[in-house]
Amino acid sequence: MASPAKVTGGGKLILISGDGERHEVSRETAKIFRALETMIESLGDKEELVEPIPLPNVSGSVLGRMIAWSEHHVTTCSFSAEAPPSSPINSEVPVQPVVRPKVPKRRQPQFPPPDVVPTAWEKDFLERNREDLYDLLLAANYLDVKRLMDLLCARVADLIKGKDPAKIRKTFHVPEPS
Amino acid sequence: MTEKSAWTPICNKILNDKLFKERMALLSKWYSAWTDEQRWELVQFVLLKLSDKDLHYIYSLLDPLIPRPPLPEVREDFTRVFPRSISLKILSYLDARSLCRAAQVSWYWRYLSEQNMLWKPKCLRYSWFLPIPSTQSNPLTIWKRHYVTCVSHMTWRLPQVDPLPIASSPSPPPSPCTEVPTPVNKSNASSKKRIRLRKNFRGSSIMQPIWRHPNRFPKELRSSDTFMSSLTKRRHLNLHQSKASNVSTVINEPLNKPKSDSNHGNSLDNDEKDSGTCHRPFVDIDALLKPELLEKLRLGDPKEETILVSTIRHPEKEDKRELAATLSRVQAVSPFPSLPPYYQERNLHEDYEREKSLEDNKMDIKDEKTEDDFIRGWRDDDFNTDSESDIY
Repeated sequence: MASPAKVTGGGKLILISGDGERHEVSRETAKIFRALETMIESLGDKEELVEPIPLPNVSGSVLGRMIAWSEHHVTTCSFSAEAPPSSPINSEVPVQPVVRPKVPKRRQPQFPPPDVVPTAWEKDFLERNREDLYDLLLAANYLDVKRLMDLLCARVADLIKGKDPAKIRKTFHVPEPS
Repeated sequence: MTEKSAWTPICNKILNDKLFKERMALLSKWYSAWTDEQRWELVQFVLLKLSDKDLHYIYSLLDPLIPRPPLPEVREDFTRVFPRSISLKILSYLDARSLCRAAQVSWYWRYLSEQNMLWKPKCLRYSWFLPIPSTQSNPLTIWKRHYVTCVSHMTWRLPQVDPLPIASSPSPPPSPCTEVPTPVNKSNASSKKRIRLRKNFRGSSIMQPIWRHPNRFPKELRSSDTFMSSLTKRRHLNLHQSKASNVSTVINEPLNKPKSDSNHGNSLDNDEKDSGTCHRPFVDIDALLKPELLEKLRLGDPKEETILVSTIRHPEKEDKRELAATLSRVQAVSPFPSLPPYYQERNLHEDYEREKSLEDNKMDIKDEKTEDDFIRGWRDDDFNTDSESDIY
Protein backbone atom coordinates (compact mmCIF):
# COMPACT_ATOMS: atom_id res chain seq x y z
CA MET A 1 0.00 0.00 0.00
CA ALA A 2 2.62 2.45 1.11
CA SER A 3 4.81 2.09 -1.91
CA PRO A 4 6.25 5.37 -3.10
CA ALA A 5 4.86 6.79 -6.28
CA LYS A 6 6.67 5.93 -9.45
CA VAL A 7 6.21 8.85 -11.73
CA THR A 8 8.70 9.72 -14.36
CA GLY A 9 9.13 13.34 -15.22
CA GLY A 10 7.85 16.38 -13.40
CA GLY A 11 9.22 17.80 -10.21
CA LYS A 12 9.03 15.45 -7.28
CA LEU A 13 8.23 16.16 -3.69
CA ILE A 14 9.08 14.21 -0.61
CA LEU A 15 6.43 13.98 2.06
CA ILE A 16 7.37 12.83 5.54
CA SER A 17 4.64 11.39 7.70
CA GLY A 18 4.30 11.73 11.44
CA ASP A 19 6.15 8.48 12.14
CA GLY A 20 8.98 9.29 9.76
CA GLU A 21 8.01 7.41 6.60
CA ARG A 22 9.19 9.07 3.40
CA HIS A 23 6.88 9.18 0.42
CA GLU A 24 7.93 10.48 -2.93
CA VAL A 25 5.16 11.96 -5.03
CA SER A 26 4.96 13.88 -8.22
CA ARG A 27 3.95 17.48 -8.16
CA GLU A 28 0.67 16.79 -9.93
CA THR A 29 -0.26 14.14 -7.43
CA ALA A 30 0.48 16.35 -4.48
CA LYS A 31 -1.75 19.04 -5.93
CA ILE A 32 -4.78 16.92 -5.07
CA PHE A 33 -3.96 17.79 -1.47
CA ARG A 34 -5.29 21.30 -1.53
CA ALA A 35 -3.43 22.15 1.63
CA LEU A 36 -0.18 21.82 -0.31
CA GLU A 37 -1.48 23.35 -3.50
CA THR A 38 -0.49 26.94 -2.82
CA MET A 39 2.94 25.94 -1.69
CA ILE A 40 3.49 23.88 -4.81
CA GLU A 41 2.32 26.67 -7.05
CA SER A 42 4.63 29.10 -5.35
CA LEU A 43 7.55 26.82 -6.22
CA GLY A 44 7.09 27.77 -9.83
CA ASP A 45 9.54 26.30 -12.29
CA LYS A 46 11.99 24.99 -9.78
CA GLU A 47 12.72 21.43 -10.75
CA GLU A 48 13.25 19.72 -7.45
CA LEU A 49 12.31 20.54 -3.94
CA VAL A 50 15.17 19.23 -1.87
CA GLU A 51 13.65 19.78 1.51
CA PRO A 52 11.01 17.23 2.45
CA ILE A 53 7.58 18.41 3.58
CA PRO A 54 6.70 17.24 7.07
CA LEU A 55 3.08 16.19 7.69
CA PRO A 56 3.12 15.53 11.43
CA ASN A 57 -0.61 14.86 11.78
CA VAL A 58 -0.72 11.98 9.31
CA SER A 59 0.63 8.53 10.00
CA GLY A 60 2.66 6.66 7.40
CA SER A 61 0.11 4.07 6.37
CA VAL A 62 -2.65 6.64 6.11
CA LEU A 63 -0.44 8.91 4.04
CA GLY A 64 0.28 5.98 1.72
CA ARG A 65 -3.43 5.52 1.20
CA MET A 66 -4.01 9.20 0.63
CA ILE A 67 -1.28 9.13 -2.02
CA ALA A 68 -2.92 6.11 -3.64
CA TRP A 69 -6.15 8.09 -3.73
CA SER A 70 -4.60 11.16 -5.27
CA GLU A 71 -2.66 9.11 -7.82
CA HIS A 72 -5.86 7.53 -8.94
CA HIS A 73 -7.58 10.86 -9.28
CA VAL A 74 -4.67 12.36 -11.16
CA THR A 75 -4.72 9.53 -13.70
CA THR A 76 -8.44 9.48 -14.22
CA CYS A 77 -8.46 13.24 -14.17
CA SER A 78 -11.98 13.13 -12.91
CA PHE A 79 -11.77 15.70 -10.19
CA SER A 80 -8.64 17.67 -10.95
CA ALA A 81 -8.61 20.59 -13.32
CA GLU A 82 -5.15 19.70 -14.58
CA ALA A 83 -4.47 17.59 -17.63
CA PRO A 84 -3.40 14.05 -16.80
CA PRO A 85 0.33 13.37 -16.85
CA SER A 86 1.44 11.68 -20.02
CA SER A 87 3.33 8.92 -18.25
CA PRO A 88 1.37 5.93 -17.04
CA ILE A 89 1.32 5.26 -13.35
CA ASN A 90 1.63 1.87 -11.80
CA SER A 91 -1.24 1.83 -9.39
CA GLU A 92 -2.17 -1.25 -7.45
CA VAL A 93 -5.57 -1.63 -8.99
CA PRO A 94 -6.01 -1.44 -12.74
CA VAL A 95 -7.41 1.97 -13.50
CA GLN A 96 -11.01 2.00 -14.57
CA PRO A 97 -12.46 4.80 -16.59
CA VAL A 98 -14.50 7.00 -14.29
CA VAL A 99 -18.07 7.53 -15.33
CA ARG A 100 -19.22 10.74 -13.75
CA PRO A 101 -22.85 10.87 -12.80
CA LYS A 102 -24.71 13.14 -15.15
CA VAL A 103 -26.17 16.10 -13.33
CA PRO A 104 -28.37 18.51 -15.22
CA LYS A 105 -26.86 21.88 -14.78
CA ARG A 106 -29.55 24.34 -13.95
CA ARG A 107 -32.82 22.64 -13.22
CA GLN A 108 -31.56 20.09 -10.77
CA PRO A 109 -31.78 21.46 -7.25
CA GLN A 110 -28.45 21.08 -5.50
CA PHE A 111 -29.89 21.48 -2.06
CA PRO A 112 -29.78 19.45 0.24
CA PRO A 113 -26.24 18.45 -0.71
CA PRO A 114 -26.04 16.31 -3.82
CA ASP A 115 -25.57 12.69 -2.95
CA VAL A 116 -21.95 11.83 -3.45
CA VAL A 117 -21.94 8.81 -5.67
CA PRO A 118 -18.70 6.88 -5.32
CA THR A 119 -17.24 5.32 -8.42
CA ALA A 120 -16.30 1.68 -8.43
CA TRP A 121 -12.72 2.44 -7.52
CA GLU A 122 -13.76 4.73 -4.71
CA LYS A 123 -16.15 2.15 -3.34
CA ASP A 124 -13.32 -0.34 -3.30
CA PHE A 125 -11.06 2.22 -1.65
CA LEU A 126 -13.56 2.84 1.12
CA GLU A 127 -14.14 -0.86 1.51
CA ARG A 128 -10.44 -1.56 1.92
CA ASN A 129 -9.96 1.24 4.44
CA ARG A 130 -12.98 0.82 6.61
CA GLU A 131 -10.88 -0.24 9.55
CA ASP A 132 -9.41 3.20 10.11
CA LEU A 133 -12.12 5.34 8.63
CA TYR A 134 -11.63 7.99 11.27
CA ASP A 135 -7.89 8.34 10.72
CA LEU A 136 -8.47 8.72 7.02
CA LEU A 137 -11.18 11.30 7.62
CA LEU A 138 -8.91 13.34 9.85
CA ALA A 139 -6.11 13.13 7.30
CA ALA A 140 -8.47 14.15 4.50
CA ASN A 141 -9.56 17.09 6.59
CA TYR A 142 -5.96 18.03 7.33
CA LEU A 143 -4.86 17.78 3.72
CA ASP A 144 -8.11 19.34 2.51
CA VAL A 145 -9.26 16.72 0.01
CA LYS A 146 -12.86 17.67 -0.49
CA ARG A 147 -14.22 14.71 -2.36
CA LEU A 148 -12.68 12.19 0.01
CA MET A 149 -14.10 14.17 2.92
CA ASP A 150 -17.56 14.07 1.38
CA LEU A 151 -17.41 10.36 0.73
CA LEU A 152 -16.12 9.53 4.18
CA CYS A 153 -18.66 11.73 5.93
CA ALA A 154 -21.47 10.19 3.93
CA ARG A 155 -20.07 6.82 4.88
CA VAL A 156 -20.10 7.60 8.60
CA ALA A 157 -23.57 9.09 8.26
CA ASP A 158 -24.70 5.80 6.74
CA LEU A 159 -23.83 4.15 10.03
CA ILE A 160 -26.37 6.37 11.80
CA LYS A 161 -29.15 6.20 9.24
CA GLY A 162 -32.13 4.02 9.98
CA LYS A 163 -31.12 3.17 13.54
CA ASP A 164 -32.99 3.94 16.70
CA PRO A 165 -31.24 5.77 19.54
CA ALA A 166 -30.41 2.60 21.46
CA LYS A 167 -28.74 1.09 18.42
CA ILE A 168 -26.81 4.26 17.74
CA ARG A 169 -25.57 4.23 21.31
CA LYS A 170 -24.43 0.65 20.89
CA THR A 171 -22.73 1.35 17.60
CA PHE A 172 -20.76 4.33 18.79
CA HIS A 173 -20.11 3.27 22.38
CA VAL A 174 -22.05 6.19 23.77
CA PRO A 175 -22.78 5.59 27.45
CA GLU A 176 -26.41 5.42 28.48
CA PRO A 177 -27.61 8.74 29.87
CA SER A 178 -28.21 8.45 33.58
CA MET B 1 18.47 -19.90 -34.02
CA THR B 2 15.56 -19.79 -31.66
CA GLU B 3 13.09 -19.57 -34.47
CA LYS B 4 14.19 -22.91 -35.75
CA SER B 5 14.56 -24.46 -32.33
CA ALA B 6 12.31 -27.41 -31.65
CA TRP B 7 11.79 -26.32 -28.06
CA THR B 8 10.43 -22.83 -28.60
CA PRO B 9 8.80 -22.57 -32.00
CA ILE B 10 7.89 -18.88 -31.69
CA CYS B 11 6.94 -18.25 -35.26
CA ASN B 12 4.54 -21.16 -35.46
CA LYS B 13 1.72 -20.12 -33.17
CA ILE B 14 -0.29 -23.32 -33.29
CA LEU B 15 2.70 -25.44 -32.56
CA ASN B 16 3.77 -23.08 -29.80
CA ASP B 17 0.39 -23.32 -28.07
CA LYS B 18 0.44 -27.09 -28.36
CA LEU B 19 3.88 -27.33 -26.87
CA PHE B 20 2.97 -24.93 -24.08
CA LYS B 21 -0.03 -27.01 -23.15
CA GLU B 22 2.05 -30.18 -23.13
CA ARG B 23 4.59 -28.58 -20.82
CA MET B 24 1.91 -27.23 -18.51
CA ALA B 25 0.41 -30.71 -18.26
CA LEU B 26 3.82 -32.13 -17.51
CA LEU B 27 4.50 -29.46 -14.90
CA SER B 28 1.17 -30.02 -13.16
CA LYS B 29 1.92 -33.74 -13.13
CA TRP B 30 5.26 -33.10 -11.47
CA TYR B 31 3.77 -30.53 -9.17
CA SER B 32 1.20 -32.94 -7.81
CA ALA B 33 3.92 -35.51 -7.32
CA TRP B 34 6.24 -33.20 -5.37
CA THR B 35 6.38 -32.82 -1.64
CA ASP B 36 5.28 -29.62 0.04
CA GLU B 37 8.82 -28.39 0.50
CA GLN B 38 9.63 -28.90 -3.13
CA ARG B 39 6.52 -26.99 -4.12
CA TRP B 40 7.38 -24.08 -1.86
CA GLU B 41 10.82 -23.99 -3.33
CA LEU B 42 9.36 -23.71 -6.79
CA VAL B 43 6.91 -21.00 -5.73
CA GLN B 44 9.67 -19.07 -4.08
CA PHE B 45 11.82 -19.41 -7.18
CA VAL B 46 9.00 -18.14 -9.37
CA LEU B 47 7.99 -15.31 -7.07
CA LEU B 48 11.51 -13.92 -6.87
CA LYS B 49 11.73 -13.81 -10.64
CA LEU B 50 8.52 -11.79 -11.04
CA SER B 51 8.56 -8.24 -12.28
CA ASP B 52 6.43 -5.40 -10.86
CA LYS B 53 3.83 -5.94 -13.54
CA ASP B 54 3.47 -9.60 -12.65
CA LEU B 55 3.18 -8.72 -8.99
CA HIS B 56 0.34 -6.33 -9.73
CA TYR B 57 -1.35 -9.08 -11.67
CA ILE B 58 -0.99 -11.44 -8.73
CA TYR B 59 -2.32 -8.76 -6.41
CA SER B 60 -5.40 -8.26 -8.56
CA LEU B 61 -5.91 -12.04 -8.58
CA LEU B 62 -5.49 -12.46 -4.85
CA ASP B 63 -7.26 -9.32 -3.69
CA PRO B 64 -10.84 -10.58 -4.12
CA LEU B 65 -9.86 -13.97 -2.67
CA ILE B 66 -8.53 -12.63 0.62
CA PRO B 67 -11.39 -12.80 3.07
CA ARG B 68 -12.14 -9.45 4.69
CA PRO B 69 -13.59 -9.23 8.16
CA PRO B 70 -17.19 -8.04 8.20
CA LEU B 71 -17.74 -4.35 8.77
CA PRO B 72 -17.09 -3.71 12.43
CA GLU B 73 -20.46 -2.63 13.67
CA VAL B 74 -19.14 -1.14 16.84
CA ARG B 75 -17.00 1.95 16.61
CA GLU B 76 -15.69 4.78 18.64
CA ASP B 77 -17.96 7.74 19.16
CA PHE B 78 -17.00 10.06 16.36
CA THR B 79 -18.19 13.14 18.19
CA ARG B 80 -15.37 12.57 20.66
CA VAL B 81 -12.74 11.94 18.01
CA PHE B 82 -13.50 14.72 15.59
CA PRO B 83 -13.70 18.44 16.05
CA ARG B 84 -17.18 19.88 16.10
CA SER B 85 -17.13 21.08 12.53
CA ILE B 86 -16.49 17.60 11.14
CA SER B 87 -19.15 16.06 13.34
CA LEU B 88 -21.60 18.62 12.07
CA LYS B 89 -20.59 17.89 8.51
CA ILE B 90 -21.28 14.22 9.09
CA LEU B 91 -24.65 15.00 10.62
CA SER B 92 -25.53 17.26 7.71
CA TYR B 93 -25.72 14.15 5.54
CA LEU B 94 -28.61 12.83 7.61
CA ASP B 95 -32.27 13.26 6.87
CA ALA B 96 -34.65 14.89 9.30
CA ARG B 97 -35.84 11.67 10.84
CA SER B 98 -32.39 10.30 11.55
CA LEU B 99 -31.38 13.64 13.03
CA CYS B 100 -34.28 13.48 15.45
CA ARG B 101 -33.17 10.03 16.48
CA ALA B 102 -29.59 11.13 16.88
CA ALA B 103 -30.83 13.87 19.18
CA GLN B 104 -31.98 11.22 21.62
CA VAL B 105 -28.60 9.56 21.98
CA SER B 106 -26.91 11.81 24.49
CA TRP B 107 -26.80 15.43 25.50
CA TYR B 108 -23.87 16.21 23.25
CA TRP B 109 -25.42 14.48 20.27
CA ARG B 110 -28.58 16.41 20.95
CA TYR B 111 -26.64 19.64 21.07
CA LEU B 112 -24.99 18.82 17.77
CA SER B 113 -28.02 17.57 15.92
CA GLU B 114 -30.26 20.46 16.87
CA GLN B 115 -27.96 23.12 15.54
CA ASN B 116 -29.64 25.69 13.38
CA MET B 117 -27.12 25.22 10.62
CA LEU B 118 -28.35 21.67 10.08
CA TRP B 119 -32.02 22.51 10.04
CA LYS B 120 -32.02 25.86 8.34
CA PRO B 121 -31.23 24.49 4.87
CA LYS B 122 -33.85 21.81 5.35
CA CYS B 123 -36.42 24.52 6.02
CA LEU B 124 -35.24 26.85 3.28
CA ARG B 125 -35.42 23.99 0.83
CA TYR B 126 -39.20 24.25 1.06
CA SER B 127 -39.10 27.98 1.68
CA TRP B 128 -40.29 27.68 5.23
CA PHE B 129 -39.00 30.99 6.41
CA LEU B 130 -39.26 31.94 10.02
CA PRO B 131 -42.21 34.26 10.48
CA ILE B 132 -40.25 36.15 13.12
CA PRO B 133 -36.90 37.87 12.81
CA SER B 134 -34.03 35.68 13.84
CA THR B 135 -32.28 37.31 16.73
CA GLN B 136 -30.04 36.14 19.46
CA SER B 137 -32.91 35.88 21.91
CA ASN B 138 -34.42 33.07 19.87
CA PRO B 139 -33.74 29.57 21.09
CA LEU B 140 -30.85 27.87 19.39
CA THR B 141 -33.04 25.09 18.14
CA ILE B 142 -35.60 27.32 16.52
CA TRP B 143 -35.09 26.03 13.00
CA LYS B 144 -35.60 22.45 14.07
CA ARG B 145 -38.80 23.32 15.86
CA HIS B 146 -39.90 25.28 12.87
CA TYR B 147 -39.27 22.32 10.60
CA VAL B 148 -41.18 19.94 12.82
CA THR B 149 -44.01 22.42 13.13
CA CYS B 150 -44.27 22.90 9.42
CA VAL B 151 -44.16 19.19 8.67
CA SER B 152 -46.80 18.29 11.20
CA HIS B 153 -48.91 21.22 10.17
CA MET B 154 -48.87 20.15 6.56
CA THR B 155 -50.49 16.84 7.41
CA TRP B 156 -53.09 18.43 9.59
CA ARG B 157 -54.40 20.44 6.76
CA LEU B 158 -54.57 17.62 4.28
CA PRO B 159 -57.90 16.02 5.22
CA GLN B 160 -59.76 19.15 4.29
CA VAL B 161 -59.13 18.49 0.64
CA ASP B 162 -59.06 14.73 0.35
CA PRO B 163 -60.27 13.19 3.58
CA LEU B 164 -58.01 10.47 4.92
CA PRO B 165 -58.81 7.79 7.46
CA ILE B 166 -55.75 8.98 9.33
CA ALA B 167 -58.01 11.33 11.19
CA SER B 168 -59.72 8.33 12.74
CA SER B 169 -56.43 6.78 13.82
CA PRO B 170 -56.34 6.26 17.59
CA SER B 171 -53.09 8.07 18.16
CA PRO B 172 -53.54 11.82 18.20
CA PRO B 173 -51.27 13.92 16.00
CA PRO B 174 -48.10 14.75 17.87
CA SER B 175 -47.83 18.11 19.45
CA PRO B 176 -45.64 20.31 17.31
CA CYS B 177 -43.04 21.01 19.93
CA THR B 178 -42.14 17.40 20.57
CA GLU B 179 -39.76 15.53 18.42
CA VAL B 180 -40.83 13.12 15.80
CA PRO B 181 -41.79 10.03 17.73
CA THR B 182 -39.71 6.92 17.39
CA PRO B 183 -40.86 3.43 18.12
CA VAL B 184 -40.70 2.52 21.78
CA ASN B 185 -41.71 -0.62 23.56
CA LYS B 186 -45.42 -0.95 23.62
CA SER B 187 -47.81 -3.43 25.08
CA ASN B 188 -48.85 -6.32 22.88
CA ALA B 189 -52.36 -5.15 22.33
CA SER B 190 -51.46 -1.74 21.09
CA SER B 191 -48.72 -3.08 18.86
CA LYS B 192 -51.16 -5.54 17.32
CA LYS B 193 -53.54 -2.74 16.70
CA ARG B 194 -50.76 -0.78 15.12
CA ILE B 195 -49.85 -3.65 12.86
CA ARG B 196 -53.45 -4.00 11.77
CA LEU B 197 -53.62 -0.33 11.05
CA ARG B 198 -50.45 -0.49 9.09
CA LYS B 199 -51.77 -3.35 7.02
CA ASN B 200 -54.83 -1.32 6.28
CA PHE B 201 -52.66 1.51 5.16
CA ARG B 202 -50.63 -0.73 2.97
CA GLY B 203 -53.66 -2.28 1.37
CA SER B 204 -55.17 0.98 0.38
CA SER B 205 -53.15 3.50 -1.50
CA ILE B 206 -53.44 6.07 1.23
CA MET B 207 -50.52 8.18 2.24
CA GLN B 208 -49.35 7.95 5.79
CA PRO B 209 -48.34 11.00 7.69
CA ILE B 210 -44.71 11.84 7.23
CA TRP B 211 -43.57 10.98 10.70
CA ARG B 212 -44.92 7.49 10.32
CA HIS B 213 -43.48 6.70 6.96
CA PRO B 214 -43.05 2.94 6.47
CA ASN B 215 -39.61 3.32 4.98
CA ARG B 216 -36.93 2.48 7.50
CA PHE B 217 -34.41 4.50 5.57
CA PRO B 218 -36.25 7.69 4.94
CA LYS B 219 -35.11 10.21 2.42
CA GLU B 220 -35.52 13.92 2.14
CA LEU B 221 -38.80 15.21 0.87
CA ARG B 222 -38.76 16.03 -2.78
CA SER B 223 -41.16 18.33 -4.45
CA SER B 224 -41.96 15.49 -6.82
CA ASP B 225 -43.33 13.39 -3.97
CA THR B 226 -46.98 12.70 -4.17
CA PHE B 227 -47.51 14.44 -0.92
CA MET B 228 -45.84 17.61 -1.95
CA SER B 229 -47.51 17.64 -5.33
CA SER B 230 -50.93 17.20 -3.78
CA LEU B 231 -50.14 20.05 -1.47
CA THR B 232 -49.19 22.25 -4.36
CA LYS B 233 -52.27 21.25 -6.24
CA ARG B 234 -54.44 22.15 -3.34
CA ARG B 235 -52.76 25.47 -3.02
CA HIS B 236 -53.28 26.01 -6.68
CA LEU B 237 -57.02 25.55 -6.21
CA ASN B 238 -57.07 27.80 -3.22
CA LEU B 239 -55.22 30.44 -5.07
CA HIS B 240 -57.68 30.54 -7.86
CA GLN B 241 -60.56 30.82 -5.48
CA SER B 242 -58.90 33.57 -3.58
CA LYS B 243 -58.06 35.34 -6.78
CA ALA B 244 -61.68 35.24 -7.79
CA SER B 245 -62.81 36.75 -4.54
CA ASN B 246 -59.91 39.17 -4.63
CA VAL B 247 -58.89 38.20 -1.10
CA SER B 248 -55.76 36.25 -0.41
CA THR B 249 -56.33 34.51 2.83
CA VAL B 250 -54.56 31.24 2.80
CA ILE B 251 -51.00 32.06 2.18
CA ASN B 252 -50.54 35.43 3.69
CA GLU B 253 -51.85 34.62 7.09
CA PRO B 254 -48.52 34.05 8.75
CA LEU B 255 -47.26 37.24 7.30
CA ASN B 256 -50.29 39.02 8.63
CA LYS B 257 -49.11 38.41 12.11
CA PRO B 258 -46.75 41.36 12.43
CA LYS B 259 -49.42 43.50 10.83
CA SER B 260 -51.20 43.93 14.12
CA ASP B 261 -48.25 45.95 15.16
CA SER B 262 -49.67 49.35 14.38
CA ASN B 263 -46.79 51.48 15.63
CA HIS B 264 -44.60 50.72 12.74
CA GLY B 265 -45.56 52.31 9.51
CA ASN B 266 -43.90 49.64 7.50
CA SER B 267 -45.44 48.97 4.19
CA LEU B 268 -46.43 45.49 5.20
CA ASP B 269 -50.07 46.13 4.42
CA ASN B 270 -49.31 47.24 0.95
CA ASP B 271 -47.01 44.34 0.47
CA GLU B 272 -49.64 41.87 1.23
CA LYS B 273 -52.06 43.43 -1.14
CA ASP B 274 -49.49 43.45 -3.86
CA SER B 275 -48.07 40.07 -3.27
CA GLY B 276 -51.45 38.53 -2.77
CA THR B 277 -52.33 39.14 -6.35
CA CYS B 278 -49.20 37.89 -8.01
CA HIS B 279 -49.35 34.20 -7.20
CA ARG B 280 -48.09 31.89 -9.81
CA PRO B 281 -47.92 28.34 -8.54
CA PHE B 282 -46.07 25.37 -10.01
CA VAL B 283 -42.73 27.06 -10.26
CA ASP B 284 -39.60 26.29 -8.34
CA ILE B 285 -37.40 28.65 -6.48
CA ASP B 286 -34.41 26.40 -6.95
CA ALA B 287 -33.52 28.16 -10.14
CA LEU B 288 -33.02 31.31 -8.15
CA LEU B 289 -30.96 29.89 -5.33
CA LYS B 290 -27.50 29.13 -6.59
CA PRO B 291 -26.16 25.73 -5.61
CA GLU B 292 -22.72 26.89 -4.48
CA LEU B 293 -24.26 29.45 -2.18
CA LEU B 294 -26.65 26.98 -0.74
CA GLU B 295 -23.90 24.47 -0.21
CA LYS B 296 -22.07 27.00 1.90
CA LEU B 297 -25.25 28.10 3.56
CA ARG B 298 -25.78 24.53 4.58
CA LEU B 299 -22.58 24.70 6.55
CA GLY B 300 -23.85 27.79 8.27
CA ASP B 301 -21.49 30.37 6.90
CA PRO B 302 -22.83 33.78 7.93
CA LYS B 303 -20.96 35.53 5.14
CA GLU B 304 -22.66 33.47 2.51
CA GLU B 305 -25.98 34.22 4.05
CA THR B 306 -25.41 37.89 3.55
CA ILE B 307 -24.37 37.28 0.00
CA LEU B 308 -27.46 35.23 -0.65
CA VAL B 309 -29.72 37.91 0.72
CA SER B 310 -27.98 40.58 -1.28
CA THR B 311 -28.14 38.59 -4.50
CA ILE B 312 -31.81 38.04 -4.05
CA ARG B 313 -32.32 41.67 -3.30
CA HIS B 314 -30.22 43.08 -6.05
CA PRO B 315 -29.87 40.52 -8.76
CA GLU B 316 -27.76 41.67 -11.61
CA LYS B 317 -29.58 40.33 -14.56
CA GLU B 318 -33.14 39.78 -13.48
CA ASP B 319 -35.56 42.58 -13.82
CA LYS B 320 -38.43 43.41 -11.58
CA ARG B 321 -40.86 41.24 -13.35
CA GLU B 322 -38.72 38.20 -12.81
CA LEU B 323 -38.35 39.08 -9.19
CA ALA B 324 -42.08 39.35 -8.85
CA ALA B 325 -42.40 35.92 -10.32
CA THR B 326 -39.85 34.65 -7.85
CA LEU B 327 -41.72 36.11 -4.96
CA SER B 328 -44.89 34.48 -6.11
CA ARG B 329 -43.01 31.21 -6.31
CA VAL B 330 -41.86 31.53 -2.77
CA GLN B 331 -45.37 32.19 -1.65
CA ALA B 332 -46.86 29.45 -3.73
CA VAL B 333 -44.56 26.90 -2.20
CA SER B 334 -44.64 28.26 1.30
CA PRO B 335 -46.68 25.85 3.38
CA PHE B 336 -48.25 28.30 5.76
CA PRO B 337 -51.98 27.97 5.74
CA SER B 338 -52.02 29.85 8.99
CA LEU B 339 -49.62 30.63 11.77
CA PRO B 340 -48.21 27.38 13.16
CA PRO B 341 -49.45 26.66 16.65
CA TYR B 342 -45.95 26.64 18.00
CA TYR B 343 -45.66 30.37 17.67
CA GLN B 344 -49.02 30.97 19.21
CA GLU B 345 -48.02 28.87 22.17
CA ARG B 346 -44.73 30.48 22.73
CA ASN B 347 -46.13 33.96 22.31
CA LEU B 348 -43.38 34.66 19.92
CA HIS B 349 -45.64 37.17 18.37
CA GLU B 350 -45.24 39.30 21.46
CA ASP B 351 -41.53 38.76 21.32
CA TYR B 352 -41.61 40.05 17.84
CA GLU B 353 -43.37 43.26 18.84
CA ARG B 354 -40.99 43.81 21.67
CA GLU B 355 -38.05 43.34 19.40
CA LYS B 356 -39.53 45.66 16.87
CA SER B 357 -39.87 48.39 19.43
CA LEU B 358 -36.30 47.81 20.46
CA GLU B 359 -35.30 48.04 16.87
CA ASP B 360 -37.07 51.37 16.54
CA ASN B 361 -34.91 52.85 19.22
CA LYS B 362 -31.78 52.07 17.31
CA MET B 363 -32.85 52.42 13.79
CA ASP B 364 -29.43 53.10 12.38
CA ILE B 365 -28.07 49.77 13.52
CA LYS B 366 -29.75 47.43 11.19
CA ASP B 367 -29.09 43.76 11.03
CA GLU B 368 -28.96 42.80 7.41
CA LYS B 369 -29.30 39.14 7.94
CA THR B 370 -32.61 38.70 9.71
CA GLU B 371 -35.11 36.44 8.08
CA ASP B 372 -37.73 39.11 8.33
CA ASP B 373 -35.60 41.36 6.21
CA PHE B 374 -35.09 38.47 3.93
CA ILE B 375 -38.78 38.30 3.24
CA ARG B 376 -39.82 41.89 3.66
CA GLY B 377 -36.79 43.42 2.03
CA TRP B 378 -37.41 42.57 -1.52
CA ARG B 379 -41.04 43.29 -1.22
CA ASP B 380 -40.54 46.78 0.08
CA ASP B 381 -37.92 47.73 -2.37
CA ASP B 382 -38.97 46.13 -5.51
CA PHE B 383 -42.62 45.35 -5.57
CA ASN B 384 -44.52 48.28 -4.30
CA THR B 385 -43.99 50.10 -7.51
CA ASP B 386 -45.07 47.20 -9.64
CA SER B 387 -48.74 47.09 -10.34
CA GLU B 388 -50.59 43.85 -10.92
CA SER B 389 -50.98 44.49 -14.58
CA ASP B 390 -47.23 44.63 -14.85
CA ILE B 391 -46.84 41.27 -13.30
CA TYR B 392 -49.61 39.53 -15.10
